Parts: sequence; C-alpha cells; structure tokens
Amino acid sequence: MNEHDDIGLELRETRAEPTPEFARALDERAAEWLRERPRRRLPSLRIAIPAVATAAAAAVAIALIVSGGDDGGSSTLDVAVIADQGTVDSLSGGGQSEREAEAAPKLAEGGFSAPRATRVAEGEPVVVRFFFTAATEGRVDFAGREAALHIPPGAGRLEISTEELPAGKHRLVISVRSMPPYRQRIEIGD
Amino acid sequence: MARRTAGEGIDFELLYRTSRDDVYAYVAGMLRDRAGAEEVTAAAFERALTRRSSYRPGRGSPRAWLFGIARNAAYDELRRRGRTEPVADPGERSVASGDTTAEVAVRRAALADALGCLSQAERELVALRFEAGLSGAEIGAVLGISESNVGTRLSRAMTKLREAMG
Repeated sequence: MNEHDDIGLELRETRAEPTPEFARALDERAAEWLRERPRRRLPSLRIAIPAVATAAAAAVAIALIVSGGDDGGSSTLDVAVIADQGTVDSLSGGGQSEREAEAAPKLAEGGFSAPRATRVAEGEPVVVRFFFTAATEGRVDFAGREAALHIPPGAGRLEISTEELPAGKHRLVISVRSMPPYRQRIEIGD
Repeated sequence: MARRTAGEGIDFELLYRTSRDDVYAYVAGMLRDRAGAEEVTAAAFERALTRRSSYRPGRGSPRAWLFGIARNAAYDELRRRGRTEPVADPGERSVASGDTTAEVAVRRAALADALGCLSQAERELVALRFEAGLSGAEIGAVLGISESNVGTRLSRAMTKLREAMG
C-alpha cells in the first residue's frame, strides 16, 4: 500500500478525533466499568454469608456463586439462589458439605415456572422462579456452562447470570432430583 | 484501571488505551456526526467489556475483535436512524488547523470531498486502514474477507479516491 502513503498519511492526519471532554468522560467510564465489573459478579459464598447475616431483615436475598463441576471443558455459570422470605441456607454447589447434602430430603415436590422473560439483554440475569416443599439439589446448564444448585425449601428465584455469555439463543436446562428437567430457550441480546 | 482476567486473553486497559481514538475515528467516519460517534464509541467499548469472553484469539487480534464490535454498534445506530448509508455530510474531518498552509488546506478539502465519492464499503475500508490503522489481516477479520481481498478492494478504493481528487 506504499503507493497510497501520501493520501493515507493525509487521511490519518485529518481523521476525526474525540474532543478532550469526551475522551476524559470515556476514560472515566472505562475506569468505572473495569472497576465495577468484578464487583458485579455475585459474591463468593464465604463473603456472602456474613454479609447476608447482617442484612437478613426483610426479604432474604442469599446470593451465592454456584460453582460448576470441574469437567475440564465447560465453564462455570453464576447462579444466585434467592429465597422469597425467611432465612435460608446459603450453599455452594462446589463446596457443599456432605452433612448438608445428607440433610436434604431425598424427594422434594415443586418445580420451576417460566422465566419472567425468555429474552434478556446482555448482562441481565435470567430469572426463574421456583417452589419446592423441601430442599433439593440440581444442576443448571446454560449456554455451555454449568452450575450445581442447592435450592432451599419454599419459594424463591434463580438469577442466572448472563454476563460474559455470548449473544444469541441458548438452551437452559435445570435438572433437580426426582423430576424431569426443566427446559427453556433463552435469547440473550441487546 | 484495567484488568486481565485469566483465560480471557485480553488486556482490556491496553486495548482501550491503544484503540480509543482509532475506534472513535472509524465510527465518526461511518456515522459522520460527533454526537453519534461519541455514543457509539462508548457503546462499543462497553459491549466489548461485556462480551470479552467471546474473544477467540484464533479469529484475529483483540483490535480486530474490538473493531468488529464497533462496526456492529455503528450499523445498529445507522439502522436505528432508519438509514443504511451515512449522511453525506463530510463530518468533522479537520481540513485545516492553525499551522496548515493554504495549499495543504485545499488539498485536504479536496480529499474530504473525494471521500464522498466512495461507496460505504469503500469508505469503511479506507477508514479501517488509514484512520484506524488496522492491518490488512485485521481488516479482513473485521469484514469477514481474506487479506488479499482487502488489498484488492483497498487498492481500488484508493485509485478511485485519487482520481476524484484530480
């Protein structure tokens, strides 16, 4: 492209440049995005428990990172299990103790209702409500990622993070013990 | 301010610092208005940060990936405005500044006019190569064409531009 160097140089020199005001504002926003993004991820269980304990007043929101199994292939999925009311155990699928697992009833009746929306903007969670008569365990598969679940008894919702997931249509499968998997198509898009 | 998240392969701060003005220039060339360029540039970086896990090193450089996102954001904006072609306004290209001679200013004005003779696709190629500074391979990754095809099309566009300048 050497034969175009003169025009190319001219094009470069005369290109539109951001104003200092915009550049400064964008720098600040970029710094904010980069600062905030890790915090927007749901807190780890070890941090969440004391935080929830101090704030466990009205509606109890127990947010946790539910770790996917280490299958060596798929990545983990962030899923928050949020009980509607009352204090509910906060569990990590990856770090759940044997005692807790044994304490969970073998059978739980209930299920999931259709998500509030089957199309969500990028970064917005997919919300699926649940009701179970007893604590149960399961697994979420979504967009090639997995997370183990421990669902407390009662009503609540799962907030399945879409952060860092690609746009497009994805299959959501929530499997719990003693019942057929719940399946839904979810579209992530702007 | 930036972070490099394990496995994502992108130093986002570095990418931002080295590409901010280039992305803006490219988007401004596409939209040809400052307000739209600012909005789309910001949206492009935010989308890139949100989707950074979608970056695949095998498909091109982080810059090419970023410009692909910026390109989609620019076309989204164009579609939102209900038009598929940018307005004819030459935009905010700096034809003259304090230290340019009259001769240079005239030449730059001719260049700005000549750009209006290019098709949108040609204009975009020229912007990606000379205003944003992407390599042929990177442009190919952004546009989904081969590097040699980029060279051919760019050469044709530059010939057209030169002829339009007289």
